[in-house]
Amino acid sequence: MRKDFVVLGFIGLIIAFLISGTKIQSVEEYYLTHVDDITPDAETVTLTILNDRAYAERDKIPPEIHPYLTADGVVLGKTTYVLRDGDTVFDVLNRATRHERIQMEYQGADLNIYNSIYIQGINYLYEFACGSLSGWMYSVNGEFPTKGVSQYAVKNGDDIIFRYTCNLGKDIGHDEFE
Amino acid sequence: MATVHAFRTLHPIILVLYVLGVSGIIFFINPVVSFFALMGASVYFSLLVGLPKLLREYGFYLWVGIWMILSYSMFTHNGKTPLFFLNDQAITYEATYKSIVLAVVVLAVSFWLKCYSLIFTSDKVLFLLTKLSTRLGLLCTLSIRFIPLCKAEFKAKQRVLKANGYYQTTSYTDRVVRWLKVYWYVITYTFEHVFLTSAIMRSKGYGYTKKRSHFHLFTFHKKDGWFLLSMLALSGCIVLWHQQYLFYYYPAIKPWAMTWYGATVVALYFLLPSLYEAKEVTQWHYLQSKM
Repeated sequence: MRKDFVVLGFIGLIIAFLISGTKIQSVEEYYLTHVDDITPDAETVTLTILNDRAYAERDKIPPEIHPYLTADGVVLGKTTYVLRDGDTVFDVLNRATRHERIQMEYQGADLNIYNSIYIQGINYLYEFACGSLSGWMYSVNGEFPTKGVSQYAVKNGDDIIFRYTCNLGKDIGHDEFE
Repeated sequence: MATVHAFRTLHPIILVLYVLGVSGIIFFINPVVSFFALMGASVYFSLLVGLPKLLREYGFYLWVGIWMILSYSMFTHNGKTPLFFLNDQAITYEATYKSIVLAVVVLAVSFWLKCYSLIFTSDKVLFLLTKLSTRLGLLCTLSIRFIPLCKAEFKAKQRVLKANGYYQTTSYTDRVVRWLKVYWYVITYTFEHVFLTSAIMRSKGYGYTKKRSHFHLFTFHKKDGWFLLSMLALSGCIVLWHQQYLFYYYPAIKPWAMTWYGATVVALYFLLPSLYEAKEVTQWHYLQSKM
């Protein structure tokens, strides 16, 4: 009998641990994100999200995604956001997409070997939708960093662009072997 | 227990063709198609083993389905309509919908396999595979035999141990641990047993010579031809109208596009074994002499 109580206690502990690590939010709560007001002395960055390459090669993309591809290729036009201490590219993107109610899915940093968050899809456009070499890439001030989004710390005045590529970045001006 | 034996006496090749068709159609992952697949399997399974057994099986598979629904919707966040956010990731209506359909598909596949494990006996497997390779045939019959053998062995061991007072303890934990010990023992025992049989078969020379003749009772009858014809007609219609069965869930669920004749054809295909049994039963009922 004593053994039963020990086992029961252990199971209870596991359930308590799982519940303590779970955060449930309603849709309204989730999208209610505060973006700091732009003051003259605030440090700011700009963020742009483009799917123009996907729109150009849309015949390779499943038709059910077509209604969500914007014809001008702009998901989020160049917008200025206030920088907070220790912000990475991911923090800025996450805050912006939540504020603008743009759908975004990512894989957590603990789930891959690069120890960085990986952006799987933005605005229902996911990796591999436009062939096996397609997915989201980002550039800061025109350069393509060799770091993950949650490892790149941004600084005042940075210009971040997220752009969907259909060919491993070659169609958006990035060549690894340059 | 109801016993039907019209469908199971068809030619093995027909049986295989039928189940290949079933697996092909199921992979449309269309809600209506998967519902009919589960329905067809359930009806035929209940004809084979009776309704109480079917309901008992559902008692277990319901939990499998719930587990699948929870885990799939927790890990897939695509979809237009978020219901709520769990640890900053969306639990969407679309993913939940797809998880339910997937659970139904898994249940349908399991029940078709259950039906086939009852009707597709080892003589049929051997008949089909020995022409390709005797070893393959042997391997397949052995692995198919493994689970029923395991079950029977487990039940027998359980009865003996219960009578010996193996489970006489007040602690639930101890009982579970002892049960698991028996379970593990039976699996390893059956494994050994199965391979021992194969060693005996090999020592008898089975599988070494191609000249060995094989006795079987399977011939192609007129009833096989009729069944094949109806099967081909239905699957031909499905191939012809495949556009309406194609389905997508993301970003938004595909609007309803299936016609009543499309749904009927699929339902008929999955109910074909049960309908065939029903036809045989009624035919025999009227053929019996009332004198």
